[in-house]
Amino acid sequence: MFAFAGLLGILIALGGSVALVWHGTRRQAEPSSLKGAARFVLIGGGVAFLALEAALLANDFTLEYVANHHSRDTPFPFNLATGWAALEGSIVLWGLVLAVFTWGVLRRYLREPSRLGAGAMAVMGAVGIFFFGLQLTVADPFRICVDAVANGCVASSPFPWAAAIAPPNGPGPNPLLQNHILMAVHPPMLYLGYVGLTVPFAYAISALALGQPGTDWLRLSRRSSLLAWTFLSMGIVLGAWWAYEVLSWGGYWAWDPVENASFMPWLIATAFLHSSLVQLRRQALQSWNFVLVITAFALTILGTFLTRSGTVASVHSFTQSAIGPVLLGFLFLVLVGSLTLFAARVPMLDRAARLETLVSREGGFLLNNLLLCVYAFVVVAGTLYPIVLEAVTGARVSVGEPFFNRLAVPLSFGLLLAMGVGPLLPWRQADPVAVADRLRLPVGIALFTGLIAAVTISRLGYVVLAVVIGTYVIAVAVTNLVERSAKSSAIRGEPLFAGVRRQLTSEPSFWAGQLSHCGVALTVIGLALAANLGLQTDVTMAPGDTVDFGGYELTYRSPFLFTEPNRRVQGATIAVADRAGNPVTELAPRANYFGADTSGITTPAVHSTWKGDLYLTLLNIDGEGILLRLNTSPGIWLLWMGGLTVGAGGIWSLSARRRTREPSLVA
Amino acid sequence: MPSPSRRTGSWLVLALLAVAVAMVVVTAPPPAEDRAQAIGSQVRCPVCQGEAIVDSPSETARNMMDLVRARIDEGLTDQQIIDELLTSYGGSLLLNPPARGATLWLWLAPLVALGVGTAMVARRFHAAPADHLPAAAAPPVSPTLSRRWIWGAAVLVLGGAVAVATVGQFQQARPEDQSLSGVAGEDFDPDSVSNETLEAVVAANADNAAINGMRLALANRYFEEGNYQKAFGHYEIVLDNQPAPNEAANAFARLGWMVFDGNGEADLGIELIDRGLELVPNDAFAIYLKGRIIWCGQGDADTAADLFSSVLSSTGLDAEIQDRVETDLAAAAAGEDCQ
Amino acid sequence: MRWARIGALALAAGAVVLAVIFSTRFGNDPNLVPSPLLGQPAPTLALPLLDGSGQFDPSVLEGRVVVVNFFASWCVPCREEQVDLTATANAFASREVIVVEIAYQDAAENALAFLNETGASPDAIYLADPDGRAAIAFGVFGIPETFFVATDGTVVGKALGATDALVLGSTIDAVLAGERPGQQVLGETFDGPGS
Repeated sequence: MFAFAGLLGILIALGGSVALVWHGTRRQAEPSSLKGAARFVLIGGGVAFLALEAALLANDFTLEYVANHHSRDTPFPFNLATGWAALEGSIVLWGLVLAVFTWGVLRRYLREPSRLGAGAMAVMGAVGIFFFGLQLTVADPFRICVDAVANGCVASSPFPWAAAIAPPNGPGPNPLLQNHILMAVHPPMLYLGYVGLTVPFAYAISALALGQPGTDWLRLSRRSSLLAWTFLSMGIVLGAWWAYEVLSWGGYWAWDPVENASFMPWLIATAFLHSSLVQLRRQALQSWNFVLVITAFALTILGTFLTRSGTVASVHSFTQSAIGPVLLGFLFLVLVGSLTLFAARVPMLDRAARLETLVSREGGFLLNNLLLCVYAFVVVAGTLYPIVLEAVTGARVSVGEPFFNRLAVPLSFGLLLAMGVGPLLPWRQADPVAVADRLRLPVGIALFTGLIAAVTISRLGYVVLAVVIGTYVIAVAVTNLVERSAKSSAIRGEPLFAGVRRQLTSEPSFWAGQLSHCGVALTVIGLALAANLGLQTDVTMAPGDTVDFGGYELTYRSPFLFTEPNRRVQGATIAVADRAGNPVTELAPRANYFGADTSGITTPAVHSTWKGDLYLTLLNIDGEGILLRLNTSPGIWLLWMGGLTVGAGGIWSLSARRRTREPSLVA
Repeated sequence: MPSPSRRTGSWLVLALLAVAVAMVVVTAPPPAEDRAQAIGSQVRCPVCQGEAIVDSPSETARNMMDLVRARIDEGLTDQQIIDELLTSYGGSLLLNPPARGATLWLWLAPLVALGVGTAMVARRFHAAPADHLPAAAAPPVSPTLSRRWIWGAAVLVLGGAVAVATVGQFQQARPEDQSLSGVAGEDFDPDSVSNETLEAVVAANADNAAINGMRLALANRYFEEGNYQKAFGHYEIVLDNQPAPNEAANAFARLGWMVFDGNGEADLGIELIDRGLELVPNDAFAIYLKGRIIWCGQGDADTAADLFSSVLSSTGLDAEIQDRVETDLAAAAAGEDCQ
Repeated sequence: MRWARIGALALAAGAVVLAVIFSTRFGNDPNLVPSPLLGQPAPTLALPLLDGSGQFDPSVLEGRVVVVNFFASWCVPCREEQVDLTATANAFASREVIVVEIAYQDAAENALAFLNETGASPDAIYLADPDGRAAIAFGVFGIPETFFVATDGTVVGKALGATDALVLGSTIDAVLAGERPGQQVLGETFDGPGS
């Protein structure tokens, strides 16, 4: 029953996508037919997703997807999350998100009908054809199980009327995905980001195809770009947080190919957000923006391809499937098609606006783009290089943290420096002396803070540098706000606080951006502290043993073992006390055994304070004692807070724009 | 605008602050170098998909870190320790691709990109004003794409698809993927392996009835080599395991010969061969063996000669055996004693 | 202007090249690494005997063909392979071929119990590898893995995944004949229980 509903939904969505392409590419597009088509896509995508979730909730093991990825014992939010835990389900989620964004594009079109908008809907439809087509062929979640064993399905049929044999139970989702609630949240966020980038891409292609460059396409898609970027940022941060809580210390970022897959489009999307401001304001950088948005979209497809095709070895790798070649083919078509279209349209692009001087807001944005694009290039090169080298010469190399860190650190510092100066530069031309004047206070604050940090926290070069530059960025934003508010308050004769409020509400987009900049600064400081000042050691402890570590006294009390419906949990209780012996907390690092697994998935135990985290991982537990890995992560809360702040900036900007309903340009 | 003196004054203060920070950092005692950590962060854990051995909680990684520490204590240099690990696992274990050879490009590429990017940015600001046309003077471009572009794009896409399809096929036959089939493999030629291998295969699959054929082949080998003891054991097992008629006949014939040749028991030998002949009456080799026993064991040259001639009249006889039969026939018919 | 066009087309061409390169990777396990130990001298097996009766003297192996197999009690395919290893050890005992089995990331008592259950050969040698050094020295990625060492002490063959008597025997035959069988992939390897 669910299979019928699901497949019907997919067919409806597919039909709607075809209708979108058909109607969107006609000379005289009728809003009503586009609306109908978009409605079909939305309904179809929704029905497919709901059918899958309903099948999971109802424990319908006649579906192969449910039989192989779900278990009766999986507790509540994780059984829902199983809907996107494996390949086919995640494509269904992608389809639903795409349908929702298509609806959003439709709403915009209805408010302001244009051939551009209709063309954008056609492109969304074309992408929809691909993704819903995937769901009917290679990544079909509604296949019926026709041969089953005790806990899984061994053969399936794509026809919903096939004679079903349902296994009594299934293995449940991958144990790593059942350990933490963040797992349920991270993929949808990430998909909102990925799929959201389809919208500016669609507008861009529409503009190129119709021969209507200019700023319209940018203006119409700006909100979606911002939304996509915000969710992508949050998705990456949440993913890092989840990896930290679940996988291992330092697992928050390991330059793993799958992690890079989400980082590459983020970098380009950030560059795009900034350079589109230049185009909106000065009508410059038109062709560059086209290239950026095509690259961003292509990178989301590349990212999906790398994650799902089994081409790279990764701790995040999903199993191989036939989807690899199909995704590669789609990526190939997208790149070749859009780049060729762009190349053809190049003569048409308006090159009127010349930028005067590097020392200006425009120059700042260009510097930002340069650094971000080189950064993205580094990540792409490092991720793809092993594959390319092996295909060409057969040699095997690994490219890991040392490579990325060596290049990413200077680039990040460069970006932070630019972030500090850029907002202070006026458009067109800046007076270097005046800008330098305004920089004095923030630089002073930063150096002073750096000195304090060097004396109290650590004298390590990287740490001090990160504190100085990060504080500088925050100080620039804050002093900028205060100075401007003070100026306008003095003029109006009102208290400073009112002036601040006025500043913030009159230019919310700008200040939201500054908030995100502060978030990035916090993230860098947190990273520098945790990565450089963290301690690690492995200890063997028998019950009753005590060790001193990281300013704490850790005593191994006793082991424990208990069973939950979907797993067996074995662990050790560790009493944590401070140096004086006062009890602080009790931690319970553990190993979880799911189903028939005989190896444990470790869940670390983390004690978080403002000073940093104490992080315990249970490596081994047996009759004699435990082998425990002890880590400290000083200041890591800055990393999470910084990441969330970045997202908060995006959300602020989105909500502010809704109120003003106008594409707000930067002051 | 602050006065110039205030301005210079404030910059001086900033400069002093910067110097102070720099001094504090530079005079910091060097951090206790954990050589093991430094080495460990460069080596990839082979079973962990990308984690460094210093980070991974897996047992392999921990063992490798212990090895690194032990080697440090023994006084080896960093490079020697890494080389030791690379000898076992290969260059792909390095997380930091070396800046030479094939991976030199990887380190150079970002610098090249930075250079290209900077050039692109610089051009925006330094291009002479004369080379920009006011928008009005640009020739109007038609909104529909010219045929040329569409065809060009189509060619590119098609060519790419063809390239992908053909090269992909070509590359997929990788030598690493070959595998030898198991016992039931169709390509297996028993003559190509040694006795020991057959012995092992047969012993490992002793509970599988299908192994009978192979066991028989092994037994025959031992028989031909004269290793009657081993042959005997295998023939017995063959007969115990529901042999097919031709297998049993094969075993009986040779058992009979061995009983005579090894223990001198002619009657028992003939009896065994007869049991085989009941199953497969025209087994030429069995008849020949019987003839030999009758001739050499019982001294009856005439019966032997009859048997020998009946053997010669059957088809499909091995050339070597044929010669022997002819020789023996000649001798037996002449009434000589057995040779 | 021209630069933009050239750049875009160059990128598109690059995409074609990349697509071709990626397409060659399908169907290949990215984890499969050719062993660098092939053609190199085999590491010395100075390990304790599995039954705890002392240290093994590796000079016993000199001048002989050695088959080094890594196994563990938690390794499911190792169970069937054990029968074949035992049969091979017995069959080749007379030919100056020694089978050495090393327990990988396994407690000695578990490994011994495993051998009791599945069978052991009096002609084979069973060793423990308490700190994993032998596994590291041989570059083991997972088990079961089997290495074939020629009489001069050079590693000439490696099998990944569970072997059977036929593979073992024919590879030993080849090594005895002076050939270098190289690396073969027969099945999956596992780097830990439940992986």
